[in-house]
Order: sequence, then structure tokens, then C-alpha cells
Amino acid sequence: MRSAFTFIFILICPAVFGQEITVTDQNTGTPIEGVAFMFQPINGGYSGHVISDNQGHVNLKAVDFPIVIKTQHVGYQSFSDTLKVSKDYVIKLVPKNVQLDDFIVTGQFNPQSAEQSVFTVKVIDQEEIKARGAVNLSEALSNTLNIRSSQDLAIGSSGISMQGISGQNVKILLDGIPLVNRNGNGNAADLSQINLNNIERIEIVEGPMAVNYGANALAGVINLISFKDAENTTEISVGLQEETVGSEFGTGEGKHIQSIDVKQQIANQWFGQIGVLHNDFKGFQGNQIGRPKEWNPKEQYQANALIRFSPKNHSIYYRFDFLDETINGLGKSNNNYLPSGENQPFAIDEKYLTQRAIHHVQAEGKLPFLSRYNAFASYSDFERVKSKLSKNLVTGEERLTTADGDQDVSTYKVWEFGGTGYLAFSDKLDLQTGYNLSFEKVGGGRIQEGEQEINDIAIYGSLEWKMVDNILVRPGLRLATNSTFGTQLIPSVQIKKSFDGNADLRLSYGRGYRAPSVRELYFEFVDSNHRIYGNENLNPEFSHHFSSNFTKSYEVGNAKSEAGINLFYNTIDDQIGIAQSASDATATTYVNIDKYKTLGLGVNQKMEWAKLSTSIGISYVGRYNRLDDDQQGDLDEFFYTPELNGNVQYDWTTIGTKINVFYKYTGALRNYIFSENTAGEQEVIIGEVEGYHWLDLTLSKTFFTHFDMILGARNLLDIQRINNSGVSGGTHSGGASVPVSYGRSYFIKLNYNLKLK
Amino acid sequence: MTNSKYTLKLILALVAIGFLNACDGEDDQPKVDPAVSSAIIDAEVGGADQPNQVFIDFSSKTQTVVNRASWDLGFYTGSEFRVILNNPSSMLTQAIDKNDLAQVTAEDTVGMGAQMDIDAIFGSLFGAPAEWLPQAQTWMDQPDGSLEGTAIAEISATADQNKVYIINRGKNADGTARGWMKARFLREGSGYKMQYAEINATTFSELQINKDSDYNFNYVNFNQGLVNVEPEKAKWDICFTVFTNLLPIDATSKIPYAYKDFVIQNRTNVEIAEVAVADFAYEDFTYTNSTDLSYSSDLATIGSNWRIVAQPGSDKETGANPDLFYVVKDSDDNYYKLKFTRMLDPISGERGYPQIQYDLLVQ
Repeated sequence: MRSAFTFIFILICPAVFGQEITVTDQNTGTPIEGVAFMFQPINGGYSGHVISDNQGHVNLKAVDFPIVIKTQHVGYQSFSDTLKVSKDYVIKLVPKNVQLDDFIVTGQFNPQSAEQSVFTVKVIDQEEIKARGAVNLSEALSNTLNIRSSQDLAIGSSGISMQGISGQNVKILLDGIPLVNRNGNGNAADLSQINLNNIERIEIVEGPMAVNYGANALAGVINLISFKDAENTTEISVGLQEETVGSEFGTGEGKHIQSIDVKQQIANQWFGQIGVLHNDFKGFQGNQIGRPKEWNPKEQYQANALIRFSPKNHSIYYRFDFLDETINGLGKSNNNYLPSGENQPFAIDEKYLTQRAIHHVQAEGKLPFLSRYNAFASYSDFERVKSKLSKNLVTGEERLTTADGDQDVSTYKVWEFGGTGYLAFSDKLDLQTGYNLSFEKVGGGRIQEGEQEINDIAIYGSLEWKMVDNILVRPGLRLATNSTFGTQLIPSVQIKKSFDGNADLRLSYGRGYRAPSVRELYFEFVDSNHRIYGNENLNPEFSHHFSSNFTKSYEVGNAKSEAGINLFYNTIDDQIGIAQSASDATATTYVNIDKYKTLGLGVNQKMEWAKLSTSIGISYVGRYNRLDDDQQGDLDEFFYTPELNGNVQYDWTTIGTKINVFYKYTGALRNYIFSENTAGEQEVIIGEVEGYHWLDLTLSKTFFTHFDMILGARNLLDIQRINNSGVSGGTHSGGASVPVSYGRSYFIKLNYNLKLK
Repeated sequence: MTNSKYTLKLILALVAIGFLNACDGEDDQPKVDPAVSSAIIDAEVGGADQPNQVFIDFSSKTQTVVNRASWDLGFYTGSEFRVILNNPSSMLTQAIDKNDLAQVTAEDTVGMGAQMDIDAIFGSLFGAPAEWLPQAQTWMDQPDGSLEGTAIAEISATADQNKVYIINRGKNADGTARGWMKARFLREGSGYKMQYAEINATTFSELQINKDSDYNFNYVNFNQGLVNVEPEKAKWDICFTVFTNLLPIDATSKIPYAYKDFVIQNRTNVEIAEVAVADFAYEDFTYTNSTDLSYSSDLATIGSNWRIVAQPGSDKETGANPDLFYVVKDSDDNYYKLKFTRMLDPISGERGYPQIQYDLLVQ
């Protein structure tokens, strides 16, 4: 049977044989044995890896060119390339083990290494996610430069800003498709609701990726790439993580996480994966007394499943993701005396139940008329039920409360369809064209008529043109039409110039836009002091983004080094703000009135020796001061915030342990505020949200072959709240401190990994 | 290998326990304060919209409930000739340069609708700075209750000097507008005479208001004439009300802004001191402790300090502030300790259902 197959195969694809790939040392020319040689056909066919033999030969059977290849060897630098046709190749590897870059896909025509990308892509790979003991995205990004996080204690959410631009403009994707949350289709996400148990790596692109990914990515894109394959026939992973919450730990305290993940090659061309995670955060009592907690308890279940079918020239998969989250906020006890004088205290408790289900079908491969295609359809269904209950603390009786807004169901349903085709005209010119359809249906208590719809249709195209050998130019254009604000034309252009000696210069210009949110379009909130309405006539916020990036790799003694310098500038026009309604002076509404700018400068440096690798980065981000424009004459236009990060990893081979240190300094965030001086007059002063240092330390070790263990300490410097003097007086001030964390915590993670060939 | 199997079994068991040990809605029974012999009053503020002003008299343990939109103006009964606006309805007024009501037409009020309105004032904060905004605070009576700070100037004995006032009657409890009026105030013997009409009217009505010194103010409703609002001045101590206060918004401006769950005190002979629970427990506080406190006759001594309202993103919870209580000295020189026990209805969770607990401090 097998021979019959082989025979047919030979008949169909005679060209696949006859080629030989040899891996040699660049300096000595000697063949290298034991190089892991990974390959992935661009058309989506069978991918895998082989090991070079003692001749340095790699034997690729029945592989359909063109392929993307990547090598890995402890003693040599990783190398990746696209081999377009089947012929003999000699691959020369640079000695020493540095910079194992993975393939990246975000915005790329073909999967390739980050070095080859025309724009800058940061990767947080599996190794780093593991080394951090990161369970959710918020933890994984905790020391990334140009990203600043914020915590909301009441609803337990974690938001971010990027390049000094708010989270509404940071788009979070799961395998290229926006990850829906309560406030947006990908943007304004709650990072604590994004668990990483089935995520292979995180790709971060700063700057608008509007041509490929549409609206709401002015600041950038964070693309989570899930596992879709396994190296073995069966892989089972069982994980257990126990974590203190500050100094609190116990069965009713602390954080308890369990996970199971199974990957299986089911049959020829079929692969399946299934995983579940239970993340039980018991909350943090902190300084609160009695029932309430400083951080509300949060319990999450996450499940995912994937089935992939890979016939020749194609790969198609269905992926299902499910999240169930419960947040229980217990209120404080309020005395309530009955006429008899008896006390029956009560409390107002809040409960948030969130469910998110994502169905996602994606196909990629090769068609007679396309070098490569990719098409997807997805349906995401998000629902959050907020309930408020009054509880009699003597009788235990509970009832739903009836005040305006106490009970609410927010829903966000999105259908997305998209496709991309790639055509390689020649070695010098590649074309990508695509379409995207998005239908959003959003519901909730304070949305006019309870539910509203937004539809968006877009086509886009871009070219990668190798003008000369070392200059790659990528112009792109997106034409989008939206049911609420009409048609937009979005251009971008990126240029990469390579210099001799491993140096690259990247320049990027992109136009970005943020679509008005459903809230901004259709909000409705009226009480004794507020009459706020959405504005259906809003236009998108538009930005121009400019950035440049220069990187150079070099050697210092026996250390591999890479240095980089980045500059960016964003300017946003027509930013949506609240303003007095033109038609009704007693009402306020959302209007395109504000402008905003950010600019930044960053440098980073990596050094890698055999066992020790280090990196350090500094960035300086300027945020525009709106008062400069509005009211006062001689105020500074920008407030600058420094950020500094550093990572150290030491591979202590003699005891088989890796030691990781992650550090970040997040500088003070300043703004102008109004304050009452000692004479009782209001004056403009500078307020600030204090800066803080963040330090994590982890040790990881593999033992008994199948077990991994990570011991870690998060937030070693025990930061809980930082002072905020940047609050003007009035009834809506948030308070004099900003929560950062519940303090220093320790964790142990134990993983059992079974791999069957 | 045995070790390895043992460890695996342990992990699997712990993972299974973890998954199953999901729901535990444990709720430790909190310590319940015991029954009290204090006087308890559930003030009938009327729920979420807070339609009522509730005047409370400690010595008789009574509450007088008045709809806050049932009146427009209060005429001072003391020696001065002063008129106050209905602050709980966010009433605003300004004089125009005319002293004949019949000569006033809609033209005299052009632009006022977009300015002299509590919602319009708030709305104007969101946009280009409004030139007129600094004036807004002069359109209301000063919140400390001083007679010198009324929006309507002292009524002159010289009739010609009393100008016409354009009045925005503010809002009803349900948020609907109460409309606009024009009015002029004159002295009449030892009392007042009010001329008033709707804005476009070419004729006007007149109303005679005498001073009844049993009350702080005598009240008038434009539609009904004289009305009863506040109890006799010796018969109430504190009042729950919606209160239009001044909110600082920038270097030069404060704006009228309505506060719910506000508590004001009687301007005649009532003085109040605030006590931090950190200094004295309510239960242990006695008359002896009351002598060292500093007492205030500012209408808003209690104000909104007694309560906490949750803000988005903060961990503060809406309810009575448990860290404070008050000592109230009434017009008969009785001293009471006063504690706000709750702010919300214990079942519906709605605002507008406050409860107080108070005890006479035995001298």
C-alpha cells in the first residue's frame, strides 16, 4: 500500500527528489551534524523537521517547494530562508548559539524570521512566556517597553496603553482575528481575560497596521499565535501552579491554576488538540476589613480545541475557544436598624459573569492561480452579565437591586470573514491582496434601543518590491467602507534597507484610524447631573504614524550583540471627546474635537554569551498636553516619561537550572491639573502618577525527563499602589493612589509533559 | 522512575481537585452590631430621584416631608429683606436692566436658555471655554447660606431700584424643566410684594408676603401663591435635600452642581461638629466629650461628608461614611450625637433611603 502511494507520488512530483541540502560551518566549511532543520512549505502542506547526518546532509522527502526553512543548533546561529525551488543547497551557519528567532506571521506575506520583516516585530516566545510563569497576557507584557498597564479593582480588569496611546487603539488578535471583549472588537481589551495556555508566542507590532488589520490599531497590534502542531504523535501536558497573592495563601486565598493540554496526530493529515485551564484567583483582602476585598476574587475557566486537516497543498483548521469568568465583589456591611432597635445589616454585592466563545475556521495553501492564500471565517460571542444583589446579613436573604444600571447584560457579537492572496511575480516583486468583512452587533443597557449594529467591508493590497538587492519597499492601501462613517482610504509605506555587517534600517509611515465605538455612537445616560448621548455622526479618529528603527548585530569578544535605536511620532486628529451638544445646550455628547500626539525615542542592547544572555532597553515617551492648546498660554507641549527594562537569563548547566530576571522601571506620568492653593484660589500645577520599579525572578528546571518546575517571585519590590497627585478636585476624582499590584508574590509551577513518538 | 510516577499521580490528583473545587461562594458571617436603644429615623427622601426635602426634629423625633419642587422662593422673616431661590431644584436667576415687568419680552432673555441652566453650565465644560462661565456662580444663592450671598439683591426700600429678575425654575425630581418666569420684588410695609409673570406675558400678578418670624422663611410657589415648606424654625434641626453646591472646575470658575444625599442644618441656633471615629467611638461618646468640639453654623457642615459615592475604577463603595459621626446642638441647647447608619435601601439598593441613629447626650 505504502509503495503504491510512493509510486504515485513519484509520478506526480518527480521534481521533489534529487536535491541535497548540506549544512556547513561558515568559517571552516566542515559539515555540521545534528542541526535541527525545520521546514514549512509556503503552500501549507506537510511541515516538520529533520536532523542533519554526520555528512551535514539534510534529507527532505516529498516536500513541496517553495519552503521556509530554519535551522537550530546549540553551537550555531539560527538561520532561516525561503528556498524557492528544489535544487542543491549549501547552507553555511555562523558559529555560536545566539538569537533563536522564530518565524513570525503578523502582517507578513510569508512566515519568516523577524529580521527579514520589512517592519519591526517584537516577539515574546514560548520560552519567555514559560520563564515568566505568565498565565495571562497582562503578566507576559509586564516589562515590555512602550507598554503601560492599568488595573481596575472593581471589575478586576487590566488595560494597557502603547506608545502613549490608550488601549482603545491597541488591537489584540488571536491568530490574526480580533479578540472580542466587552468594549471592542480587539481593542480596549481586558488583558486578564486573555490566558496564554495554548499560545505559542506573542507578536507585537507598534504603529498602525491599518492596511492589513483595519481600524483601532493606531498604537499597534498584539497578535497571539496559537499552537497548531506538535512535534510528536502525542503530547500531553498537565500543569499545576500555586501562587501567593501578596502574602495571602491558602485554600480560600491565593491563586490556584490547573491546566491539561493534549495534542495528537490523529491520522495521516489530521491533527487535534484540546486544552482546559482553571485559574482561580481568590482575591486580595489587603487593607479592607470584613467582607470586601481590595482585589475581588476572580475565577476563570478556559477551554480550547483545534482540529486540523492538511491535504496536499492545503491546511484547514477549526478552532474553538471558550472563556467563563466569574468575579464576586462582596460589599461592606451596612447597619440597618429595625424600629425595634434590632440591627439587620445588609451588604450590596456585585457579580460579573463573562462568557466568550470563538469559532474560527481558517484555511491556507496554494491554488493554481495563487502562490499562497489564506482565508478565514469566525464568529465571536461575548456576553457579560453584571448583577447587583442586596444581602441581608442576618437572614442571608438575597435580592437583585433595582437602581438604574444595577443589572446589565453587555453583549458583543462579531462575524468576521477575510481572505488574502499572495502572488510572487518574480524574485523581486510580491503582491498581497485581501478582503475583510466584519459585522458587529453590540448590546447593553446604556446603548440606544438596547442593541446596535456596525458593518465594515474592506479590500486591501500591498506590494513587496526588492528595488535593489538591499532595499525592500512595501507600499500598501486599504479601502474600507463602514455603515456608520462611510468610506476611507488608508495608505502605508514601509522601507527596509540592509547594510553590510548585519545592519538594517527600517522606515515606516502608516495612516491609522479608530472607528467610533458603539458607546460613542449610541450611548444614552441620563440622571440628575448627566445627560450624555452618543453621536451617530461621529467620524473616525485619524492618525499619522512615523517611525524609524536601526538595528545592528555584531560581536564583542565571544559575545553576540545586537543594538537598536527607535524613533516614533504619532499625531491623532479628530480625537473623540465629550462636548456640549450643538443642538441642545443641556446635553453633552461625543464629538471629534481633540487632537493628540505622542513621540518617543528608544534604544536597546542585547548581549549573548554561551550561558548568559542579557538585554537592556530605554525609552522616552512624550505625551501631548491638551491644556497647551486649550486654555493656558505657556505650558509645555509634551510631558515625557522614561521607561527602562532589563532581562537577564543565565543557564546554569551544572545544576540544569535557568535563572531569569525581568526588570522594568515605569516612569512618572505627569499632567497639568487644577488645584486649590493655600489662598483658596485655583491654579494650574503639575500633578503626577508616581513611577515604579518592577522586578520578577524565576528559576526553571527540568527533572525526571517529564517534569518541568518553575519557582518564581513576582513584584519582588512589593509595589502595591503608587501615588497620584494628578487629580483635580471635584466629585469625579478617582483617588490619590493608583493600584499596580497586590504586592510581592511567589509561585511554583509544576508541569508534567509526556511525549510519545 | 518510581519518584516520577508518584509525582505524576500527585499532580493529577491536585489538578483534579483544583478543577472540582470550583465554586465556594463562602461568605463569612460578619460581626453584627447589637440592637440599640438610640432613636432611629428612616428619612423619607423618596428614592432614587430624591423628590423630597426631609426636615428632622430630634427632640420630638419627627420628620416633615416636602416635595422639593413644591416651592420657588423663600422670603426672609428677619430684619433684612432677602429672597432665596429654590436651591434643591437648581433654580437660577439674574437681573436685567429693567424695572417694569410689563416691558420685559422674550428679547430680554436671548441666550439665557443656553447658559442659565444647570445642565447647560455642566455641558459648557466640554468645549471651548465659555466666557460667561465665571458668572454662573452668581446666578445661585451661595451654598453657605449667608444672606449676603443671595442671587437676588437685597430688596431696596426705593421701589425703582428693584430690577426685574429672569428666573429659570430649575428641574422637577424627574428631571423635567420647571420653566421660566420673570419677577420683581418690592418692600410692602414690613413685608414684601412680588410682581411676577411668565416671560412673554404683558400683564403680571402681584402677591403680598408678610414676615412670620416663627419661620426662617415664608415660601411662595408661582402657581399656588403662599405655601408651607419648612417647619417653624424652632422645630427642626437638620434637613435631607438635593443641594445645588459650587463645584470648582478650573482656576477661575466654580459652577452650580447638584449633590444628592446632602444634609443641611437649621440656620437658627443649630450648630454641628464633626467627630472622627478614630478619636471617639460613637457608643462611648458622652456629653463630657462634646464640650471640646468646634461647632459650625455653616449650612453645609454635614453636607455630603457623611456619605461615600463609588467612582468608576476606585474601590470605594457607595454608602454612609463609617469613619464619621456628628454632634448637634439644637435651639434648646440639647446636645445629640448623630450617626448615619445607611444610605441605600437595604433591599432595592437604591439611593434616597437614608437612616440615622441619634442619642441625646445627658448633661
